[in-house]
Amino acid sequence: MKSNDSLENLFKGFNPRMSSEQAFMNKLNRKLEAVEYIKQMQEHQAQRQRYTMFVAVVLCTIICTIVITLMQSESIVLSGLSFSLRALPYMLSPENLRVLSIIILSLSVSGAIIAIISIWYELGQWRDIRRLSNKA
Amino acid sequence: MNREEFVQLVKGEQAELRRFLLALCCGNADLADDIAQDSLVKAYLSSQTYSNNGRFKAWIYKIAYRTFLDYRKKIFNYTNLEQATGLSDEATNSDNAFQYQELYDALNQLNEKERTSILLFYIKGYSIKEISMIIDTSEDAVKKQLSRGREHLKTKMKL
Repeated sequence: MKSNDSLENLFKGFNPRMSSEQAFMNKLNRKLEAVEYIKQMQEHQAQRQRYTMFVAVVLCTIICTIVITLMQSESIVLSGLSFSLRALPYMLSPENLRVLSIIILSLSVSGAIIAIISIWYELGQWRDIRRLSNKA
Repeated sequence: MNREEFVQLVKGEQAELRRFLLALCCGNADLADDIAQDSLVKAYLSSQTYSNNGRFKAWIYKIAYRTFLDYRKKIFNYTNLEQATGLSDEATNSDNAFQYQELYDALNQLNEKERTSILLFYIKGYSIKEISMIIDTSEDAVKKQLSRGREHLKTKMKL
């Protein structure tokens, strides 16, 4: 295959001038550094996300437990509630209103907790982006 | 493979890789360096899972060839290689004052696979088997590409 001496000689003498080796390696090192930093950030974010999920699950469990305990202490059976239009006047009885207010309150508190956790998570991400841009 | 090991391996090979890419890009030094940088970053990202250390260089060339094809798709959808190299006159001018312009023009007439096969064979001294692995084709196909490429080059360069 290598009997084509003319072509071999042509490519043997192919030695073009290229940009500085040092500059090329410096640029590459900077890129690799950025890659490393992004990988670390991604790892950090994943860890924070896991932690956020854990906090949300624990808080929601606690709230559910409190709500169930409150409902049981009121000796009200939920299945006793009827949501048909004809039963509407009965639903507005003081017992039912208490149950409904507990449910609405627990939903609001859960929503507020999830919102706070989301804001906290977003703030963390924003901090990471700022740190990344400062480093760049 | 950690970053220091990777950089050490690359340091010894980068000049050859850039020379190969410069010829593959028909003298467009800026494009060749961009492809070299991107290829090495891609290689670094995959280096954690890379285990076959004996073929590191061939693996780098495979990534470089694929990156070249990606660039070609992106850039040459709008313009052909001749125009692309023409846009980068500064890069070409700096290349030993057109010393290799005739060679680049001749290489430009070959298709990517022929050009890659010829360059890997003559610049890197790779065997047909290695070239077939790098450009993902059969050994027979590489033989045909080399044969066609040689004929074209000899005709164009009047060898």
